[in-house]
Amino acid sequence: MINYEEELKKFKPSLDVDEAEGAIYSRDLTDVIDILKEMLKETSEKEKDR
Amino acid sequence: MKCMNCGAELTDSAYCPNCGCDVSVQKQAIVLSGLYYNQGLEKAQVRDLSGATDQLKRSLKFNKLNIDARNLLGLVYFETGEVVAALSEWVISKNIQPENNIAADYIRNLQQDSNRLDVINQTIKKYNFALQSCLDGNEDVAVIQLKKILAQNPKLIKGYHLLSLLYIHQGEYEKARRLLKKAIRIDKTNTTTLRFLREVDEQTGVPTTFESHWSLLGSRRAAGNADSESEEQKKRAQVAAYRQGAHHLSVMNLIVGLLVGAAAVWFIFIPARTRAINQAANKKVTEYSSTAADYSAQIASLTAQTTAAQSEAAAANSTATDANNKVGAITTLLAALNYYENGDTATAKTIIAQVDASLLGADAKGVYTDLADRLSYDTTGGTASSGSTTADTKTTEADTTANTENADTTATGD
Repeated sequence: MINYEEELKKFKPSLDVDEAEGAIYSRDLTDVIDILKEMLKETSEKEKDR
Repeated sequence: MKCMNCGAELTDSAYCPNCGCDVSVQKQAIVLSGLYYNQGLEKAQVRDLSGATDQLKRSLKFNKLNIDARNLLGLVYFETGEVVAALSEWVISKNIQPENNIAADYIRNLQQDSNRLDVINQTIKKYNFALQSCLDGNEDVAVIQLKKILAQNPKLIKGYHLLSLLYIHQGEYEKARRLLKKAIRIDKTNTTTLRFLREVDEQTGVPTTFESHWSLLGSRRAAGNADSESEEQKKRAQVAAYRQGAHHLSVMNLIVGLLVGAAAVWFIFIPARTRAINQAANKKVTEYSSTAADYSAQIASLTAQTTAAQSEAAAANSTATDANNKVGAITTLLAALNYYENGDTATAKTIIAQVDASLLGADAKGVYTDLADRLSYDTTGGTASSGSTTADTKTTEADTTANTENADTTATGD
């Protein structure tokens, strides 16, 4: 049996066209390669500290 | 492919030729991104848009520079009515690769059709208003708004979901079913759609059927076991046999149809036509009979008139004859009187005998009687009587008068 209130909570408002610019700027575009870069960077910094 | 560390162009080696960085993981990530993109593309081609969205997002998680995956994700968003999300993906894609990028065309097409963009924007605002109305408890207002939204933007999947939820909450399961069937056509494996459909099926006890032969769950295609294949083969054989039989059946149907048509023409059309012709003929006959009756009446009238005219003519002729006879009698009497006055009594007597006294009027009859007395003519057929003495006297007087006149004339002449 579907719970009306619970199902309603899952619905979120949509962004309209005026808010598209802000949505684009606030997007997190991090991918696996960015994570690898971060890991490489941290590794190289640790080696430098040594 | 460029090195993630220094940006140098990579070769087939697992290490960067420039900085020596281990790029094997980078290469694997890019391969996985491509793999997820391919799977997303397959799902999008069969309208499994929810599945395609998941796969394409994974692809971009592994490699955000996968332009094809990003453009396709934008298309999938657009197809489900999420225009702002689609625009976002295309704008990002255009920024990553400005040249030779189809995302630029998508954005340009959308910007050129400003009316459509405005309509979409309005539908998004109305959807947000409808959602707020639902949260505030104004379900009727939300239903009205959502109907308008779906009329303007019939691809907005979450519009169908929200309206279906409202209908399910109000107990209008068939309306919800109709909406969810439309949503299924847009996105075949959307979990929300499937869950709501299952709810409707449970509440109504009637399973939802779909028109397309593409099965929603794809159990037959996914199963691939021998039993289903043999069943498929049997069904194909049955279909083939049915098609052969269907050819003969269609010919038979054609012949039967022609016979039924001919029978309908013979028993329905022709009698009706004959009846119409007979009615027209009867009507004509009636008209002609009426006209003939009129003419007959006219003829009778004219005949009566003619008869009357003939009678009148006969009477007139008779009257004319009588008048002629009277005139003749009078003329004869005058002639007799003239002879008598001229002294030719013998001729006068002969002539007076020819006079029909019955034709004479009262005055003429008096003259006739007088003359007859003078001439001693028996009007009844005998000789003259005492009445004739007077006539003789008168005759003597008449002779005397005539002699006197002759004497005078002679004396004058001398």
